[in-house]
Amino acid sequence: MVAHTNHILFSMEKIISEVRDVENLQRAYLLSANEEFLTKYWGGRERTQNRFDEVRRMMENNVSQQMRLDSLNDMLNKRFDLLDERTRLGIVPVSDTRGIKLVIEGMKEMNKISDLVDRLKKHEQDLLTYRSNKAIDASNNAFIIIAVLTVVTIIIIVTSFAFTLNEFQRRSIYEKRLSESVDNLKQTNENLEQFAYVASHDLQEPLRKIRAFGDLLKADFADTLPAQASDYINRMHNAAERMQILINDLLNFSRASRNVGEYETIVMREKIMNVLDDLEITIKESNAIIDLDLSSEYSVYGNRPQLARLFQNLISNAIKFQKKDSAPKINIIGKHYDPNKNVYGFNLDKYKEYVEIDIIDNGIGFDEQYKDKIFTIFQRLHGRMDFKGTGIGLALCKKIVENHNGFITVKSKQNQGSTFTVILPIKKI
Amino acid sequence: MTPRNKKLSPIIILMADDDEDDRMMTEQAMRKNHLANEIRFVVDGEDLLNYLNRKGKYNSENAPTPDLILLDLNMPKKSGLEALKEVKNDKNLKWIPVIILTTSSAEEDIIKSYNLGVNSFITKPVTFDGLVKVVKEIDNYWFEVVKLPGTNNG
Repeated sequence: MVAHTNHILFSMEKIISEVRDVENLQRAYLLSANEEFLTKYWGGRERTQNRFDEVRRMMENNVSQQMRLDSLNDMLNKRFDLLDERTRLGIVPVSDTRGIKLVIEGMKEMNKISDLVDRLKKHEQDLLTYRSNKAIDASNNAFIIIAVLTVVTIIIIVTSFAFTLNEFQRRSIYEKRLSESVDNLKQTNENLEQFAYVASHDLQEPLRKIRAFGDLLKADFADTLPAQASDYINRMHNAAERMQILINDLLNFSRASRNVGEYETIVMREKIMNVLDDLEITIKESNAIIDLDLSSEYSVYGNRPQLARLFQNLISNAIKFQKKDSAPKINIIGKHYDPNKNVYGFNLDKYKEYVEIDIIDNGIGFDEQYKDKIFTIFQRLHGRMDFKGTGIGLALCKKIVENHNGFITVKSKQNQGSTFTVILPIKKI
Repeated sequence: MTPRNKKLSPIIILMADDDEDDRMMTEQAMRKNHLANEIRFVVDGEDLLNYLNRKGKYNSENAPTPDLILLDLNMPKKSGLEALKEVKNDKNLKWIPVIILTTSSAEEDIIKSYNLGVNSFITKPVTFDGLVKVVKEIDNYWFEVVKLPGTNNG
């Protein structure tokens, strides 16, 4: 931009100097009558015109300058006209006033040209100054904008950093609270476990005494004890025994509810065979026939004591709730369960694999309208006199199955038998 | 305490149990078995050590050396395990066979007891009949089958 302006200024100076050259050439010719000067003189107007056109082009965009250039054009033409007139006059004596008049007019015109060119130059310089200032302003503005953006960016960075830091702090506070909660829960669980154990132990103690002294009474006074007294003692004895069983069941139920214990991969077939071993005496006494059709391929991720309790309850129920004078025949069948077919209508994870274990008995069965009730704690379908039981067994089974993310259900027909179905997620080894 | 000469007098069993009923029942169980053994009682761990060391109200007259100690675990003041530890660490007393007779069946208690040098660990039967049987077994094993110090004295 500066270069451009300088070029214009230079060119305008050049216009003036061209004209002055032409004046000199004219003077030189008039003084020497040398034709060479004359020839060069005649070329002057064209040369000046070229310069002028150049300037004109360089100031193309500027309307006010163009108008001044128009005036300059006129003045230059007038100047050259005057010069040409004088030149055509030729060499004349000094007394010839025509020559002097032309020269003086010419000089006046030249002054006007000079002034105009000064004004043109000043204007260009002002324009340059203006534009430079604008450029400086623009660059200042640009600088300010960059500075502001930088500050804003820094503020954004610092703010997001602060937020992130804050978030981390909050998270770590939450984590700490969560960890404290977990610790509290663990502690509460431990306390409950201890309480349950001690309570059940201390509660069992007096019951033990009741039964023992009942036995002593019968043993020591067998001869003198009337039948009625003996009967009372038996009832007391049985009541105490029932209470002992109830306390044990409650303790187990409490444990299952709190889901204590370690989990590991357990082979189902092995587990059920262990349970059948434990129930050996009961099985023999009832002449039960048990058929186990369960492949060893099925493993679940579970807690050993809980699973043992689950199947012990189900199988001993199958043996217990038997028709009179009939030997229990129990089938235990395991197979794959397809969650997509969802035969039982459970809300299962469609992407997991499940094993279905059916415990099928030929016992007394029950009315299916009670099928949800029987899994409720303390709900019984028979009187105490008909079948022993506390009513916790199946509620406990349901709890255990839930702990293992499985499901339990039952189908039954009165006097024909029941099928208890346990569905558990398979753990791949 | 040193082993008595068994040939001269009947077996003396010293039972430590804080529960009156249990003491009574054990004595009854022994009677049922028509055993000739003499049974004496102390009520807790502190009482037991006092007896064995013949301290406090005990002296050589009223605290004859026992041939066998029946020890309960859950007792006030000094517990069974604490008393057991003291007995088995005392060179004058460690020879006395100690049988723990307790309601507990906890694995933890069993391990701790054997680690402290108990001779046998028995869980009290739930029924009285069971207790009678166990007492008979103890008598048979410890006084018929097994040889105790003092048997060959004299």
